[in-house]
Amino acid sequence: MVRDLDHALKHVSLRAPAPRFERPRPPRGVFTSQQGFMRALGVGAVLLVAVLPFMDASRYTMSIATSALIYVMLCMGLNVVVGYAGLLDLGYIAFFAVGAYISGIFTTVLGWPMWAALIATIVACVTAGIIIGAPTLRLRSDYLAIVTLGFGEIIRITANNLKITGGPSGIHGIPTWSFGPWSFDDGFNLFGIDFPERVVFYYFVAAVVIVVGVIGAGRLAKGRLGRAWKAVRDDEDAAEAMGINTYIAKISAYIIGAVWAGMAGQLMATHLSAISPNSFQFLYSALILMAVVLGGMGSTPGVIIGALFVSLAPELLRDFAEWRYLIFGVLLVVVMLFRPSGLWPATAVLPWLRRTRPTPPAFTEATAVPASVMESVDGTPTTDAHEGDRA
Amino acid sequence: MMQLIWNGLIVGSFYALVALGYSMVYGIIKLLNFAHGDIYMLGAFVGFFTLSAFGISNETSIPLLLVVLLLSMVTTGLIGVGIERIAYRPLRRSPRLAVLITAIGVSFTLEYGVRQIFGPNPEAFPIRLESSGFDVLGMRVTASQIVLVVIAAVLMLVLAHIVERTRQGRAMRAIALDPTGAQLMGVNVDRVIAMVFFIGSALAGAAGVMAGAYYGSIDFLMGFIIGLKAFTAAVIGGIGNLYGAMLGGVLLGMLESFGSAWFGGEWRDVFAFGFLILFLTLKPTGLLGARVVERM
Amino acid sequence: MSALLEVRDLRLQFGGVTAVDGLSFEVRAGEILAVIGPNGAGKTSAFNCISGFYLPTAGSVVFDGKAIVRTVPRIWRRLGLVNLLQSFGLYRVIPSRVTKWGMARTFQNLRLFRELSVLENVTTAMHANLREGFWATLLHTPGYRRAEAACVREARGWLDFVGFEDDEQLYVTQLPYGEQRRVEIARALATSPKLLLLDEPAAGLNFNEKQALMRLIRKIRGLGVAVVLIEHDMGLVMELAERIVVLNYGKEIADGAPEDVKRDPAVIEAYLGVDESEDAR
Ligand SMILES: Nc1ncnc2c1ncn2[C@@H]1O[C@H](COP(=O)(O)OP(=O)(O)OP(=O)(O)O)[C@@H](O)[C@H]1O
Ligand SMILES: [Mg+2]
Repeated sequence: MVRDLDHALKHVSLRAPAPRFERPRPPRGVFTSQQGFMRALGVGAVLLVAVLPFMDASRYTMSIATSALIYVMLCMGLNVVVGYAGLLDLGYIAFFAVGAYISGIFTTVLGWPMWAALIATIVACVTAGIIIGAPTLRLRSDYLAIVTLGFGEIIRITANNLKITGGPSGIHGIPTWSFGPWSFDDGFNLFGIDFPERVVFYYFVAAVVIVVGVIGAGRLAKGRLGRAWKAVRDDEDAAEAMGINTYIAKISAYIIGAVWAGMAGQLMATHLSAISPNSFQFLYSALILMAVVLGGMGSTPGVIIGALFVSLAPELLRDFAEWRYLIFGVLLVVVMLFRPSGLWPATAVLPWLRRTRPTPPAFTEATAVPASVMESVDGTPTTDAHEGDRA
Repeated sequence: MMQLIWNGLIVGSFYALVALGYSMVYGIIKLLNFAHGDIYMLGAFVGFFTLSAFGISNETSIPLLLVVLLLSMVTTGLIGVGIERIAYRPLRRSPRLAVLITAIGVSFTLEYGVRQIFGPNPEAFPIRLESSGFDVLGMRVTASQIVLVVIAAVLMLVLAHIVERTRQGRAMRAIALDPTGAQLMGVNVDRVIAMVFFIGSALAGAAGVMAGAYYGSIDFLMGFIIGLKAFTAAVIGGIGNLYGAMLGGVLLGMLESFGSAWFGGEWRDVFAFGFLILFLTLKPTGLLGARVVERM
Repeated sequence: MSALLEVRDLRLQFGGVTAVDGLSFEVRAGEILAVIGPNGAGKTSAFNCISGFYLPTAGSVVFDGKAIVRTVPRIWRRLGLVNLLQSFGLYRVIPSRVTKWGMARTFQNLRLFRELSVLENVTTAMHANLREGFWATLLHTPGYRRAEAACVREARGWLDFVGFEDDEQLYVTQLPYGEQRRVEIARALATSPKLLLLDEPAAGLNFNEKQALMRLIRKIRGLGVAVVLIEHDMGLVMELAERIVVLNYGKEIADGAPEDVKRDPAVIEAYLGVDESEDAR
């Protein structure tokens, strides 16, 4: 096993001496570990999403739920950029627009099938991410914010002015997904429950994509790449000093954010079957940012809650709709001043698992570096400590 | 040709006035104040509100414009100071991202606060400068345009005097170079920063009133695009550099004026932002900015 | 045997200030070298040039046979050619590349990743040594799990090596200062360096912690890693260093064994001022 593990690391010249003692294996239960609890929570959320259509498959509910899910997808993507990599993207909706327009144009004007349009969407988003990220990610992070803001406007104005994008009225009649002779419009009967509307199918498609998107983003965040993002966010110079190419790390976060938004854009285009430049104003970039910030940057549960709040609140509270932008603006300031890590901070620990910090260890000789160990290594190269003699 | 230059100069002087505030604030506390464009919008609305309160409409008097201008400048200046005090000062030691996000929040609050008060539709600005003009050097020039350019030029000269010749100006430059050092030398950093916000916001407010009088209609989102443009101008000139902001503003105004003539007006903004990206890629320090090594 | 690190005529100017003025020294594999000098002498600036963070005005730095900073014809600089190229990331060696070549560093004022746990701080530094594909991460393949396990084990090894025995899941901000310093060294070691640059590692440590630090540095040298440290604590420097380079106003005023440096009149003058200050005591 250990040899196996060694192979997992690239060949490095200097290896850590083996630990002198094994740390106790951390608990893995649902209530005894953070990870277990979050996993259970995730399974619960997925179940909830899965059973919703069986409780209320009305057109209205499904449509709103689909939009909310698409918001979740968007927010998860922006969370990679803002929450993990610490890059402020104020034109995030532009990638959503790229996704929506590419799939719209490819399916209506060029008549491609939806799956091919999906691939085109992803390619387009990666390209857009590189074009906009490559020059600006070398600069100070605040320049990025304003350049992305400009980029968002460029995309919107371009969509408004070009013929192929349908100008101000946008694109209509985007076809639905179809598999052979059967398409989403044909409806379906499952376990005696009739799903007559394509909205229900879109709900399911969206649900699957979004669950994959959420889990995927979470996994990326935990791995090598995700650690690099967070390191860049916390301290770019230190990250660079630790051998992380911060430019590559930032670009990769940016591209992944773009792809997530592009997929959300395609879902939206097919869900609504019509798109217009008005849905891609700066306002929406700001709303998504608010969702991420309110929920908690870098925190998956926080961002999901934030996304649901921002997308559902105006639907559920009609009086609120009028005032929401003002309220969101004030909230943003208040949150940043008093609770910058959001409603559900990324660093939150479940209350019953919270470790009370033991009193700082007294710096006796023993806790510092045990003398017994010192004797054996002091000054003399140990044999098992490093491979090969460099001297 | 000359007409394009003249038009560019007019728009450019608006950009320059707003860009100055952007650039000053950035120079001194390294904050991109996203709400700055909205201060411009507030300036226009303060003018609109006072004039409406006195029942004035369709006025063409230039002295009245100057009075309103001063009033708006003081009001927006104070609002700027208030914003700094409430929203930015507590975050001065926080990560940059937090402050930027706060600035977006402030911008939203201002925009939609005004929307709740004055409604979403554009309002007609009560002072409308007459548009009778004359021809010079093959370009059509109106008296009001000359007034605007002169006001802008005077404001910029006053600012240059303050920064270059006064004690406060010296303190500003000191803080921009080295905040801790300046503090150790006995500069009251908080006061100077407040003053920068006052001056920057007052200039933006002035530009707002002038734009109201020039274009005739104002709305709650009018600050958004100009904020972006002013930033572009500040970057072109070299952010943090006052003369750079002026130069950048005028240059951007001209570029746009030529760009619209060549590519069509609907591409004007695309042209300007494209230019921003190009500039940031090729010469991020701008025309007059100095290359600085960031302290680690 | 050629030197591991070779610094030649390094110059660094910030506008009018010359922070480093013609610095030359060598570091041989596995030795402990101290760089000392009064405050503002340019020690940290020199470190920043060597590790690729600052672009020096002139001079060359060669590490392990690879050029970190190349001597460039002056006319190129005059024309702004170098700046232009460098702003595109060309014609310069970025610090992460230097780290991959085997030079690790710590910072004068602690710069740990504040929102990462102790363990994550160290695993982050394994970045360059870790093989984890994009799809493998998404799909949690066995290869990915193995790489993660190996990475965690290695990181624990380093934490253990520096004598960190507290809870590895704590956020670094929850640790006392001395422990944070220790984690920073573990983090630097996790990049598997041949040369470790320590910028005032003993600053702010108490007596016991300093003793532990001295043993740790010897232990690191025992692994075959060369150590260059900037330090103000003369006791520690004299005891630890095999060779000392002294800077004053960016200029190198001495380079030699501790005993010689201690007696060097130029060094005494730099530290104590000219004779009057001697009399004043
Ligand atoms: N980014 C920078 N821009 C301008 N001047 C700088 C910069 N970094 C350092 N300096 C200046 O260069 C000189 C050398 O600074 P440096 O930090 O290298 O000194 P040091 O020897 O590390 O001092 P200390 O012992 O206090 O850490 C100082 O005068 C400092 O003000
Ligand atoms: Mg130093």
